[in-house]
Amino acid sequence: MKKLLFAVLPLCFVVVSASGCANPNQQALATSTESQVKLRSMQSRVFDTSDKMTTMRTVIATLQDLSFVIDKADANLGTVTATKLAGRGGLRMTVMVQPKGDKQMRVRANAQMGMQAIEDPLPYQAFFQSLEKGMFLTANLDE
Amino acid sequence: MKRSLLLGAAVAFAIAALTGCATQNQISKEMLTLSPESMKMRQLQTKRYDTNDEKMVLTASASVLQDLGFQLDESTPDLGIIVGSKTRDATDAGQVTMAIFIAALGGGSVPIDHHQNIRVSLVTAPMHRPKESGAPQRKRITPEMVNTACARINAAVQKSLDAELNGMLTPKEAQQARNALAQQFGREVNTDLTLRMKSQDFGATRVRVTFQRVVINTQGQVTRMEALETPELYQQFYEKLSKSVFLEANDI
Repeated sequence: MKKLLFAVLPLCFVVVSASGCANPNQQALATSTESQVKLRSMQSRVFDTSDKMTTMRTVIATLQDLSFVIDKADANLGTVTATKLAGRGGLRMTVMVQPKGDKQMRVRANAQMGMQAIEDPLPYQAFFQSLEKGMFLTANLDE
Repeated sequence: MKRSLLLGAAVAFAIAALTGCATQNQISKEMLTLSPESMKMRQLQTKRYDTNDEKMVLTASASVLQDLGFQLDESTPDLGIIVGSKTRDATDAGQVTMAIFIAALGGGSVPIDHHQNIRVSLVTAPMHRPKESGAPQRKRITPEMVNTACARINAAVQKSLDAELNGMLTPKEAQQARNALAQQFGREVNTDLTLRMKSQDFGATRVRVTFQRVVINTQGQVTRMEALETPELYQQFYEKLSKSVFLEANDI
């Protein structure tokens, strides 16, 4: 009996620490479980446009379509922060638009839900798919 | 028996710990995907105004938010953004009755909704009309152009009246008649040009507003976080904004 208990306890410990979800010691400088490069690449997309303001406005419109409420935005820095109140503690997102070379814009997004950073590629894929629709509409319909 | 129970508990624990992540990602993925209802919400929350003066629409919007008692927290005119908030009472008569009832039955004090933080974010954006093919490109009339035109027409009218009236009337009478006529004519020209200026096709500006609220109970806990999506709310807001845009456009 005791033997089994000793076997199960480390197992629980391993599971908890491996899942990374329940780690209470997230500190200000604690980076993610993913490598920095990998994280950046899954949080970024490059768009073929040189118009930073239009890109930012499209980002804002897309966030609103996703029923986010815009918290703040800075045109110089190219950042937009927005919150969606649903799920556990809400989803908060910061999107940054930066020129990449002369003809492209790099859009980087990072999100947190409740008190947890989102480091799975799928949510970002979903976001960029929504954004791509918006970018396509802006470019082709000229609203 | 005990053994299997322990093992079962450990497995359940492991599954719970692992799925914690999976569902979180699943939820956030769903939250970042455009839903079919999003177009409906967009229509409800958006209104278009026939003016290219985005700053004017933004100013009118800020005034409406102030009319509604919002404090303005953030504004980024370059991107057409205003963010505001207000804190209001959220006491619900039903909840209070229930709490009193439970307390009367000896159930102790029950936390009830106390106040709510209502947040609003409003975004304007210019809308460009598709260019009409073959339509001649005409210069846009600006207030400065109207002023210059009026001044020049006034000078010309005065000059020609001078020439006509000089021989007929005494210089003093001539001056009075000239001034009266020129003034009247100038006013008509000004009205006409201003009207033309205002009826120009200026393109359009769209406004999209979203409201959300966080309800906090008597124990300081968040009991509800939600986007406000009742159509009446948005209809009423835009009724007020339309009035405000009109007032702003006409400098009233």
